Amino acid sequence: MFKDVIIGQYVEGNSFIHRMDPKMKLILTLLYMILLFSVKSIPAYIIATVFTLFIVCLCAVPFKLILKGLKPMIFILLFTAVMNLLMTRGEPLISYELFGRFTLSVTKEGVRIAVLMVVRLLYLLIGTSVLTLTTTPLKLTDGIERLLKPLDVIKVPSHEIAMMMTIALRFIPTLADETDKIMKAQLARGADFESGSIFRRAKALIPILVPLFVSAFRRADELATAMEARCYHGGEGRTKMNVSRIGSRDIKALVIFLIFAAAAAAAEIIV
Amino acid sequence: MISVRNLNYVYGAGLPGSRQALFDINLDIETGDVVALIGHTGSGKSTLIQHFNALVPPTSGTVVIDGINVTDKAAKKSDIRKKVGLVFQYPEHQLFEETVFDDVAFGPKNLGLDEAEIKKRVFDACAIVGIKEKYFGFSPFELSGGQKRRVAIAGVIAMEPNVLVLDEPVAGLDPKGRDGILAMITGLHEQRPEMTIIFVSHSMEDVARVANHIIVMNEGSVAMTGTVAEVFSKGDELRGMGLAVPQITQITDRLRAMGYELPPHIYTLKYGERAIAALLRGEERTDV
Ligand SMILES: Nc1ncnc2c1ncn2[C@@H]1O[C@H](COP(=O)(O)OP(=O)(O)O)[C@@H](O)[C@H]1O
Ligand SMILES: [Mg+2]
Repeated sequence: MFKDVIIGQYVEGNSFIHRMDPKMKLILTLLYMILLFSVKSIPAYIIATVFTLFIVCLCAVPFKLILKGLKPMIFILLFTAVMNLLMTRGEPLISYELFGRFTLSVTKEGVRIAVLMVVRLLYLLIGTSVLTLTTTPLKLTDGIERLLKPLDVIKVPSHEIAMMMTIALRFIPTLADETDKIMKAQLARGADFESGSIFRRAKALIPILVPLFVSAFRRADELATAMEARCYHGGEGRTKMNVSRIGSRDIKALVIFLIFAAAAAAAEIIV
Repeated sequence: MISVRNLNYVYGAGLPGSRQALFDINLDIETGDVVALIGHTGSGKSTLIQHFNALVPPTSGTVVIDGINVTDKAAKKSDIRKKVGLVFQYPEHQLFEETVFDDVAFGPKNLGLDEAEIKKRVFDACAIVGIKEKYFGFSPFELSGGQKRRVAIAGVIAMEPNVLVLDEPVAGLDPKGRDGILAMITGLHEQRPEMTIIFVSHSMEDVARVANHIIVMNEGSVAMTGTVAEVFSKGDELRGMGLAVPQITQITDRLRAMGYELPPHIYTLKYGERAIAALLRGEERTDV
């Protein structure tokens, strides 16, 4: 049941986006986010839509899978929509008296902002899903490490941050498996996680949490020993076995993005 | 009585990377049998036994235990889990209570029994697995690996199931711990002959010593079922699946092939030793 989580779920593939350098993918994702939050007019939105569809098609990941990753976010999207609908002032479309004191009104501006906001968030989620679906967690953290590297001069421990992320990501499936196993073992002993008051249910988690923590500490201990036994001593003087470099493919991707961004900017100015 | 009909199971059905673990399984296990489930790693043994306990819902097919259809939505899961006790692989990883006594009592408590009955069951179960009363107040985390495993097994035995299923109960134990667990299974069968015991094992010696029936799994299917004698007489087929017959059987088969007259069906070291000793004595007599 924990296997449905899509975070860090890489889908094997050989598409253009799969083969891009993770650094460039991270940079472009960041630029894409900035773009999404700076567009305001409808034509610019249409250009952003075209670009989003373009990367979704290009990444060769089943669209169903991307949608599945969006499912847990539905609540946030709905919440954003409702808040924007109700909280934006302007020309009212529908009004509703609440307790005779407040008026809740859905305004024309509200509808517009709600739709644009939801679309913006949706694209943001799709964009980041494309990043995590086409990049192995290992490559992703490697990209982050190398982007943070220049910050070493101001004492940002880029290697350590990346190593922590790698280990954390590496243990997500392990701990999910472990949780599944422990849950089943306790269910087999008649444990009941599903009925009773909130308090009872929280208490019912103890038989899962205690063994899970015990095993997490054991694993952490074993891993630390194994790393030390192989002479790990942090990032100093450490070189990489596979160094991926920004290549012509990445430059191409950047240029394509900049063309779309320029088009969006132009649309924004003209309107 | 357990009967499995046309059971299929797919992990992650409908998702990319889904994987069929069980293919059209058909099985019958009689009440009171001691059944060994063998097969190489990944052959689907653990997946199969989780079906006996309604922990995984079959993708298709049925599992019926003492007349209760486990797959039936109306069947209460708690009834099924009362009937079938499942001891997972490395069960010591599920211990969580402050004391040994409380941990063994966790299952009986969940069954809603009264204090006196819980206490009785904890004492009985610990006696069966050989955990002495002086350990009842210990933290389970203070015990040795073998002891932890016994406590965890006691936690399931204390629920007094009709069917006890153990997934690789001796994995990772030293020879003494192994012998202890195997002797416990034999003892349990003698004390409670009506209890069906199913255990997963990779050691043919252990299987020969403890079981009376064998189910052989291969790549998600049942490859063979039968009595210990029936299955171990098909050494070549077993070898084809990456399994083997007990070492003593390998020796006696070779001796027989060399022309020595040995009785058939030698699977345990004890019996093999006696047969070979008798052969040697017999030969000495004819030689002299
Ligand atoms: N939680 C799971 N998710 C996906 N596949 C699994 C899971 N557990 C087991 N499998 C797969 O199912 C098959 C059977 O596994 P299992 O029943 O554990 O075999 P065994 O116990 O005989 O070693 C294997 O191929 C394994 O990779
Ligand atoms: Mg297994």
